[in-house]
Amino acid sequence: MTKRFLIPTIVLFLFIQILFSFYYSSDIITQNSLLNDYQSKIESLKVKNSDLRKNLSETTSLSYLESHLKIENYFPIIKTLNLE
Amino acid sequence: MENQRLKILSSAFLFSFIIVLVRFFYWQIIKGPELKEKSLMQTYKLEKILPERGIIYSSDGFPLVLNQNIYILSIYKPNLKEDLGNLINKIDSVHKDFIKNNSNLISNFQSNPNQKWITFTTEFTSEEKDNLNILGISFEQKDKRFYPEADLTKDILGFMGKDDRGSVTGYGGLEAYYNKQLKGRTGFYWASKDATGKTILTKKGWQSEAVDGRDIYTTINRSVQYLAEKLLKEGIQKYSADSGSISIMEPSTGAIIAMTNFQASPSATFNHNSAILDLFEPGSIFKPIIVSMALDTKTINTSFICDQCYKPRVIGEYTISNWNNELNPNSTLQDIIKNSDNIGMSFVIDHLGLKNFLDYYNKLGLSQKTGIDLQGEARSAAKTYWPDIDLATASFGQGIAITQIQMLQAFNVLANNGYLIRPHLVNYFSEGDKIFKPKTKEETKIFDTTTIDDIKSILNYAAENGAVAKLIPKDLNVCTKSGTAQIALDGKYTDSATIASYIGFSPCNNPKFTMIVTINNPRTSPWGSSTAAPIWFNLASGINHLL
Repeated sequence: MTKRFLIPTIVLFLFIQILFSFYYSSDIITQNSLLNDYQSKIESLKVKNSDLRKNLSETTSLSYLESHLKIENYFPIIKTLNLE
Repeated sequence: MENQRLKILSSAFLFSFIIVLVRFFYWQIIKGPELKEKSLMQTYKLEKILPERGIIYSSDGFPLVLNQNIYILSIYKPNLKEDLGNLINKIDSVHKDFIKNNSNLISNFQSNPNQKWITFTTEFTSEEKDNLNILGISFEQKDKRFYPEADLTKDILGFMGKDDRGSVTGYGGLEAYYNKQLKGRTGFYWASKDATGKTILTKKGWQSEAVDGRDIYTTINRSVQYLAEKLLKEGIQKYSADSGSISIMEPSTGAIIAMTNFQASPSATFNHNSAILDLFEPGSIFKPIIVSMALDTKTINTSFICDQCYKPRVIGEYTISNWNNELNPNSTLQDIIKNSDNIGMSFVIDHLGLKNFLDYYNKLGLSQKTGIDLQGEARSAAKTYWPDIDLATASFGQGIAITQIQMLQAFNVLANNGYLIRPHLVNYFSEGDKIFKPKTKEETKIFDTTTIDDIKSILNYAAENGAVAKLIPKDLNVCTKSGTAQIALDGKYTDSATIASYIGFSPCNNPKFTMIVTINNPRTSPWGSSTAAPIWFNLASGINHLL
C-alpha cells in the first residue's frame, strides 16, 4: 500500500515545489521591477523638483523682476527710496 | 559473454561517474572561491551615490546659488537607426545653435568612418533630453551651479572648478571657504544586479548613505546688495572711475549685509573681491580712528585746540599742508574733522604717541586679517620703522595700507559702542532639520563709552556742517567722514589719481548699518565728498527703508 502511494507522492511533492518556485521567482522579479521603477520615478521627480526650483528662483529674482517690470511702476518706488 | 559486456559497461559508467565527481570536486571545492569571487564581480556592482552640493541662500531665504541638472550628449554610430545628418538636425531643432556651436566636431564626426563615438560639451536641459529619446544617443547627467540672480554677489559666492585630481571644488568666496561643508559626503551602494542592470531585491547588499552638503544661509540682504551693485556701477560710470567697492555691515553683529565690487575695464578679472583682496591707503576716513585713540588715552580731550594750525607743519624735509592749502587756526577737534585738517591731525597724533598708536592699531585688527569667511583675504605687511613723518602722515591715513574690510571693521567699533566685532557672511548652516551656527569670536572692548559719545558728536557735527551737508537726506541722521587719498606710484604720490572714500554709520545712536564706499581714480573730481559721498547717501537712503 505504502509503495503504491510513494511515487505519486514524490511526483506531487516535486510538482508543488516547482509550482511554488515559479510563483516565488516571478514574485521576486515583479518586486524587483517595481523597485527599479520606483527608483527611476524618484530620480525623475528629483530632477523635476530641481528644475521647478530653478525656474521659480529665476522668475522671482530681482533681475527678472527689473527686466519685466514696466518702467512706469519704477517711479513710485524711486520716490519712496528718495533716489531722485 | 553477456556478463562480461555488462561488467565492461558498468565499469565504463562508474569510471565516467568518478571523472565527473572529480571534476565537480575540482570546480566546486578547489576553484570554488575563485569562481565565487568572479561571480560576485559580475553580479554585484559598486556604485557611487553622489551627494548634492549645498545651496547658498540670502538672509531672506532666497537661493543665491543652487544646483541644476544638465545633460551631456553622446552619439554612438553603430546603434543609430537613422541618418547621422538627420539626427544632427533633429538635435539642432531641440537645442538652439547646436550645429553652430559644434560645427567642427560634427563635420569631423560625419566625415571620419573610423570614429564611432562622440561626446559634446553642449549642456542640455532635462526637457530637451526628454525630447531626444532616440536610439544611438545617450545622455550623462551632471550637476552644475545655477545663479538665479545672475552676477549678483558673484564676488562673495565664488565659483566652481576642478582641482589637480579632477574633482569639482569651490574657488574664491564662500564656495571655497566652506567647500567642505558644501560638498557633502559620497555614498556607496554595493548590490547584486541582473543581466539588465536592475537591482535584485532579495540579495544581500551593502549601502552607505550619501550625505548631501550643508546649505548655507548668509547674512546678505538681497535687496540691499542689489541696490549697492546698481548704484556702484552707475557711480563708477558717472565719475569715470577705474573701479570701486562697497561694504555694508550690521554694527552689533558684524553681519555683512552687502559687499560688492565693480571694475570699469571690460578685461577686468571676474570674481575679484577688492574689498578683501586689495590694500589701499585709507586717507582722511582714518582720522576719526586717530581722534578716538587720542580721546580714549586721554592724551587729548574735547577741549583740544590746535594753536599751531595757522601754518603748514614742517617735519624734517617734509611739509604737511591741507588738502585745499587752506589754514584753519585754532581749530577744535570738531573743526579738524569737519575741515579734514591734516595739520591739526598731525598734532593730535603727536599727543597720542607712537606706542599708543601702535597699541590701538593692533587692537583694532589693522595689522592682521579680519578673519572674514571668504577665501583669499589679504594682509598688510608689518611696518617696523616709524620715522616722525610716517607717524604724522598716518594721522590722515597715508603711509599705511589696509583692506576695505579692515577699515570697515575698525570704523564699526565707533558704531558698536566701542566694541570690535569680526565681520562674517554666514548666519547658519542647515543639514536637513538640523541647524548649525558657525563659530564666532567674542566682541572685544576697545574704546570707552565716553570716547564713543564724543566721536559720534564730532562726526555728526562734521557731516551736518561740512562739504557734504547738502547731500544728507532729510530723514537721515549720520556719523560719517569723507576721505581722499593720493595713490602712490613708483615711490611717489601722483598729483591727480586718488582713492575717494566715504565711511560712516546711521543713525548715530543704535545704528542700523556701517558702510564704506571707495572709488578708485575718479576723473570727474578726485574728492571723496564729490564722488564716494553721493553714492553713500543714495545707498543709505535706500537702506534706511529696506532694513
